[in-house]
Amino acid sequence: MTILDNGIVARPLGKPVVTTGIIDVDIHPSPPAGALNEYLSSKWQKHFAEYGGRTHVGRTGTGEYPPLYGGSMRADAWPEKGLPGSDLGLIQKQVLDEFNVQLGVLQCLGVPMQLLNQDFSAAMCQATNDWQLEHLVYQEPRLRAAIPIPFESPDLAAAEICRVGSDPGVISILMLSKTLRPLGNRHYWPIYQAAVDHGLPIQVHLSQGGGHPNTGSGWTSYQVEYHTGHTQSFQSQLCSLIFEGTFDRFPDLKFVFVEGNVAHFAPLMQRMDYHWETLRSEVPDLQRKPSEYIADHIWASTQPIDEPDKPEHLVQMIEEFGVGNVLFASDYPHFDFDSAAGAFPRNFPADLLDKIMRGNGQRVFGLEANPAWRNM
Amino acid sequence: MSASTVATEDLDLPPKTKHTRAAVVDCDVHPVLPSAQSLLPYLDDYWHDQLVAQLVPSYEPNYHPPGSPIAQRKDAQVGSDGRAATTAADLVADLFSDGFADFAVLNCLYGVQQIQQPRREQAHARALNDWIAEEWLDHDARLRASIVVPQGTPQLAAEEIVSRAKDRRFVQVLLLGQSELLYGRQINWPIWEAAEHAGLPVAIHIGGVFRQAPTSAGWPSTYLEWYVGQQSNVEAQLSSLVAEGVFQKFPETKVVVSELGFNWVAPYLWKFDKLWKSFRTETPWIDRPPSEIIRENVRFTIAPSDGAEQPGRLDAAVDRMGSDRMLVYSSDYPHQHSSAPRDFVNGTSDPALIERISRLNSADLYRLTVESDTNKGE
Repeated sequence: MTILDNGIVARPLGKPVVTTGIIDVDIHPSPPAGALNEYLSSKWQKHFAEYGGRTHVGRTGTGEYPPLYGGSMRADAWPEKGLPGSDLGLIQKQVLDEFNVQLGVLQCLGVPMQLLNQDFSAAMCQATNDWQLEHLVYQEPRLRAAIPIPFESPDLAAAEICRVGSDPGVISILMLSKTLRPLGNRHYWPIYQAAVDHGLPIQVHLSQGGGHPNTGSGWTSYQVEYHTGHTQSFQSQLCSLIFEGTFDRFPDLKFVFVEGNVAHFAPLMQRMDYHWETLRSEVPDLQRKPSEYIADHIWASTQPIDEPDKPEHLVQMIEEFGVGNVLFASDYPHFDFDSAAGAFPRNFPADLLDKIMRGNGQRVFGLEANPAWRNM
Repeated sequence: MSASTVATEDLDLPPKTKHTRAAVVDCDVHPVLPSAQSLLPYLDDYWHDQLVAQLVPSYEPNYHPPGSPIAQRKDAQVGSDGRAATTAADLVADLFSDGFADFAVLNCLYGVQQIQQPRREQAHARALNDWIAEEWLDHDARLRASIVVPQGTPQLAAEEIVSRAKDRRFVQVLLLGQSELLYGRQINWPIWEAAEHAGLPVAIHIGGVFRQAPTSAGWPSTYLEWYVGQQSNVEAQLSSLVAEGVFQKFPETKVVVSELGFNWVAPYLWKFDKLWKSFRTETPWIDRPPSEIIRENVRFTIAPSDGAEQPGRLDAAVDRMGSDRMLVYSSDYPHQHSSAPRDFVNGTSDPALIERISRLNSADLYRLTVESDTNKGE
């Protein structure tokens, strides 16, 4: 048994068992209203009651853009009470059982990671992690947690990884695509050291906020350009991670980009290689070609799946990016949910689909076939 | 539509007789939109349906976090939700009960200016102004209001000013202290042109659009840090208005800096004048010291006082600012500060200054008068 310092008694979980089912790296739980209070000190409860959760958005409620219809949720994902993602039974029924998900990675977004007050951010991340372990993961071992961390304060973030990162219920670390500095910046290195020390990949999920306009040329006006632009921040993050030499410094570090599409990374990767040939004298410490780092360190998840007119183009782009580097994600319970049964084109190659659905995830999370685990 | 469609003859002053005097105007008062639902009746079918389908998102700003001590006074009238200033009846009961103010100018801070989509911002500003007119101005003849404008698109903001100014109860234009581009920039000139044509002063009030960090050094961690630090943004706005030549291009422009303090003004003006002497060839259209332009065209509301009610402090601030014409009375109702609005009288030993702040300095802004037995102050 693992005894966490806040007194929660961890169930004796083993590693996730993935045999014939699938891995879904993007399921969004939502703590029911008030559920985090029992994990917050009275000081922070009072702070929240008085000042709310202050972020880069200057409002008390809505995010940068108003939600789409129905709160941007799948219409059938609302439980009788509370928000979609707040009812474990519904997550089990609509995702785990429906698609034989043997490993579902929880990504609790909300605002805890982007609170301006970093001490409050740390407290909220801690509360979120204790809540999701106790109420979701220990109840349903097919679910495992990506742990949100206060990533703009790497010392606090590393402390949270050390606090809870050895719990078998934790399978990865959660960060967001909008950051104050690009992710390769040395500011974030303490986080990467802690991730490597605990053998945890870092999942970077699409986000708003971060403290900058959502394009390098200022703000977009409309949802359609704003949402299309999410891939642009992932492109910036990828360039930063590669060219800053992150993976020479942390050879065991793995990143999973979630909800940032796949196809656009292929031409970017080729472009990086092409210009690195000319300009490599500026980054003489890089030991390998950009695409080689990507092959070993970067994964991208499929949702929202790219839909070219000719489905074979999607297959080609995945092959160019790396057949071993693409993971399945459903994004349950959001409106743009991808069904494991229906999202892929009919003529999608079966062996590639198998990799995306299971094999690649086993590699990322260190779950390659191992009889010792299967017998647990 | 352009600003010039407002004919100046429509803006004639109230008749002046020797039986009227300049009114006591509370220049900064805040009606609170109870919820986003309250705007639905004022939106057209398209926006009504959009909002309902989106579960009626709220743009309530966090300029005064509702649960925090600054949000409202403990003795304020509150509605069933515990919030002050959500109805005209509550606000009027609190505001005029001591018989001091004759009028109050409503600055509604519901955060429509933070809306990213220009047409959504425009529709919300329109609806909010309709809500203000119907639920507040129609309720009590002592209420006046600032026009909320879609400031993200200056041309649309100008259109709103032109059409709304026909209702004379709208006596001011409302802008927020932090903008996406400084207000002096030429792209924002349609706003100044329309305000000048309509004869309306422009309030620059604490608040912001949060398109970028609200300070030049990045993001403050706490609300306290943000609130205290926002004076720096308005210094930047005033420098911009002067440097870009707004007061030359639109000489009738009046700016009312609201809820941002005033004790910081003097050292700011000293620095501005000094640097103008060094760099004046760069901006030859600034033909006199910036402090003169600002003293002539800019007013500051007195709440929060930043401590000016302490004996001698108000006199000292005015002395350093170099003019007793720059301060106008405000209560900043329902916001709570460390001293009460009318405490300001304790900061001066000069009854004439109290008269100036209470009534005379706002007379040329709003031209509001009340009947009087004497001619005092005319």
